Amino acid sequence: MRKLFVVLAALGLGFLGSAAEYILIGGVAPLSAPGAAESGHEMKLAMEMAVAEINAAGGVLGKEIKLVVEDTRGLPEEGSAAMNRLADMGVVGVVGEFHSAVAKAEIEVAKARKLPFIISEAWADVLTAKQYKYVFRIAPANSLFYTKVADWIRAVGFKNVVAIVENTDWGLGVNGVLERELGTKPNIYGEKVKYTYIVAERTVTDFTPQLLRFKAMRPRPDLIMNIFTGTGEYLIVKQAAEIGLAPTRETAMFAVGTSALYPEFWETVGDYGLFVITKTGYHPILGVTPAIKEFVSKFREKYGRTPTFAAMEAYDSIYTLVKAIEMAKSTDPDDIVAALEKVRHDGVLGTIYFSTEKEPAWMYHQWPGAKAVVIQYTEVGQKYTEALLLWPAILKP
Amino acid sequence: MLEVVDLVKDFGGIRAVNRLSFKVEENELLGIIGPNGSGKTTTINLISGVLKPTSGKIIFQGRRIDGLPPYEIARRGIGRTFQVTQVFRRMTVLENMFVPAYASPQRRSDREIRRKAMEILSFLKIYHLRKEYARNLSGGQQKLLEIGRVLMLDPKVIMMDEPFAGIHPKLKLEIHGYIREMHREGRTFIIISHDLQTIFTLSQRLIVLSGGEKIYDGTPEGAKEDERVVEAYLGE
Amino acid sequence: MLEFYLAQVVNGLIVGLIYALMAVGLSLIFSVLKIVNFAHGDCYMIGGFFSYYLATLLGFHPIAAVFVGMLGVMAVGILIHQLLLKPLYTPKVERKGEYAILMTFGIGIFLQNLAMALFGPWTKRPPDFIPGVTKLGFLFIDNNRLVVAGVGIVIMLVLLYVIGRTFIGKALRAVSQDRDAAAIVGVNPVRMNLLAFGIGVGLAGAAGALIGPVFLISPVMGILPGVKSFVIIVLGGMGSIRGAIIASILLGLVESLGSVFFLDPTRGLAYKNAFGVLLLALVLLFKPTGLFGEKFVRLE
Repeated sequence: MRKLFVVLAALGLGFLGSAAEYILIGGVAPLSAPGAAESGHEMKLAMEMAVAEINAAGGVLGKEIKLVVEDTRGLPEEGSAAMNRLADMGVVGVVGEFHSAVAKAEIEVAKARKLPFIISEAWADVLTAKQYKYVFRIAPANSLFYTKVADWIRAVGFKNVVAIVENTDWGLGVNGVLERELGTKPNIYGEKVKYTYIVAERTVTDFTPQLLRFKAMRPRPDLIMNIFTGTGEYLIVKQAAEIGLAPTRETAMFAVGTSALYPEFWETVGDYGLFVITKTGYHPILGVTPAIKEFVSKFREKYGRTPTFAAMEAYDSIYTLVKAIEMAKSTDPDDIVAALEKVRHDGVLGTIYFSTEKEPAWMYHQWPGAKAVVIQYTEVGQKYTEALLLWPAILKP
Repeated sequence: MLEVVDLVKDFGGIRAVNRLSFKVEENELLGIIGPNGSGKTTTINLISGVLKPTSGKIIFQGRRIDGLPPYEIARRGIGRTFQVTQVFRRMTVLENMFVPAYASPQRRSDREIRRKAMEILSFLKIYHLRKEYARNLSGGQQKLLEIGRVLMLDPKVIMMDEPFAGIHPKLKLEIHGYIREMHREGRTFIIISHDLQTIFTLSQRLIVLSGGEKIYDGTPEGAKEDERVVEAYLGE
Repeated sequence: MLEFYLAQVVNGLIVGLIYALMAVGLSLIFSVLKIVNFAHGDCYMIGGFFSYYLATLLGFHPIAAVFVGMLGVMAVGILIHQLLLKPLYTPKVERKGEYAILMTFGIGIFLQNLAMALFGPWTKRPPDFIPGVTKLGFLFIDNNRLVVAGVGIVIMLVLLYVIGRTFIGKALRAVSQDRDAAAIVGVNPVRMNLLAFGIGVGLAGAAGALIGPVFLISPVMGILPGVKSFVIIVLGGMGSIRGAIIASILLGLVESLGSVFFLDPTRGLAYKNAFGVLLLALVLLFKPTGLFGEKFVRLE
């Protein structure tokens, strides 16, 4: 059925193509299981909002933009199929993606079919470290971001850190950075940080056995890194609290996944969310630019929920791509890439530009401006924008 | 009370029952015999609804029942047993007896149903086995259980497919006796059997089938002298 | 350390009870209809959402919402049976096994996508049955889990009573053992199929509704429990209710203790779902029909 729909859509677009003048932009995001559909949908909403605004302001190169968002279902094979479908439809560039494993397949298609591709929200280092000409990234690379999280862990003086890691490229990537950073550098008291982790499938719903094991450890862990997204992330928070493990005086809970910023966090974990620590790439303390204010209120008005980092990235991705097309005055892929290497777009997250440095490898075509802040919920039901800022210390008011 | 009119059943190209017509009166004890493949079991399957007729009518108590599903025909008062006994093996004897109770058209209380089941089991002399699983019963005991289960429906007509096949001679006599007793109580019987001796002594009237057609309908004594009947059996 | 193992056992028992509700329904459907309901996990999901909305929008008490949600899923099951599964019993459908697989599979995908469209992909949490945690000495047990275990046991006992003691239960069992013989003593097998399917998916719905406050609900919540119930009914013996209950408890315990005793503790949880399959492989090696299985059955 869905295939049929895609065919019909393609035919429909083909028909329109002969009649109307427009520029086609592709989007990729997980919109159904087993992907993180909750994040994929948010990104899709943000992309649609950006395109609607640009069209209302007259489009680009005098033409209207059409957006086609393809569902990658969080599966690499679906991702590369989606990229190929988009290329067949004749898109001039692609933005989006949430899962690193899927993005890893998608960049190969981008390379082979010369499709400028701005990765919005997939963090694995390797995506930019491959240094493909057509691949750019607004999301921070894991190393860029989690080095800063590791700095915080050491600065607080944690000694026994345990992690539950989802068995995905993203989870393993985050885990890799933390293991490297914590394993090689001592904490603020000059002590060695003991970092142990366990890996679990995204489909696990009962973490209690493992959490009980943590509770029985001596000395008891002082920090749990919950490196999960979606339902799993909520369940770890909930179940750790239920067995009296964390957050407690002895043990802190760090929910690493983006889902900890969603309103569903409070709906699902309730009181257990109090004193949970999480991270974000955006926080008002970093400076609420008029752009952010405007974006947040527009998004809320249109969709009834507070957008997260992922929505801002997707929104900025569309604008950046369009701006590059405008600069290039062409839809030729090589012209667009040349423009992307020079573009400076004042977006929601800040001024978006892409580095052309090749050292460290992941810096290539990476937006280096992503910020990492560590926050803690101090009230039940608190919005993440009002949560207590823990790090970087220098930003503390 | 039961009338079969021009009944036809085809299996692919083979005609198993050909324009068969007969009537059964209330409280009759009718025997149906015939060589292998003469259409006896097919006829019973058609009447009980297990098979749908190709054409023809089956009328029971003034209403057509051909084409009705088996459970509907059972509820209207036609019970049957199978050549190969079909008891519910993973249920106890008593539980087997309760299955028809759920379907029974007369709403009876649980206590009545229980009492009735006990009565029937005593009548068939298998009361002592009531808590036994059906799969642990001997072949003959299973046959009795099957008869008992049919009686739970309180049927007006009971059709039995080879009730005497492959059982101990002593049990054969026993079943023979039960049939007579139930017949005396007013029930109508249609019995299919290979066992000519038993059927000749038991039935009041005999129908002989051959090649799906009726070749004789009359007294058991008359059948022995009928040319076509003798030919059909000798030809076998 | 003893406390630690005891906590794992308690956890395994409770999770096993939840599996049992699901698996018993699947087993009942299989034993009577002789089909595997591949939409079982999605009926579980629907139950979760029904009770969520009953509790949050219509103000039902969370436990009442579980039962009303269960009835709602039964109604959905009856609809599915009447519209889509009934052709199974007519000569129109020739390859009945294949028809049933494709049909229930399709229904499952449809329900999942419908839920995605109607309720959105976001994870939701129904209100607590009883908020908080019960401390039994060193044991910390979430009150919701205690309620799940209690209500689960009650539902299971009622089911066992209906199947084992009532006339309707005997008719159900009769159909499961011999459809033709049951029909000939007046039992309408199609009606029994409808009943079994309704009860079966209703149980899945009840499981989903009960689990909501514990494991949260989302349109994809049923995928894994669905698969696990298949493992369980094969393990317990296809069509055996008792087998399904025992296999569920066994699986709950094996999963809970397996991830603890696993040689490499850092990977224990990653292999959690494999323990069930391992258990299955071992049992099937020595008893190919499962723990309480009779023989291979198939819908003709």
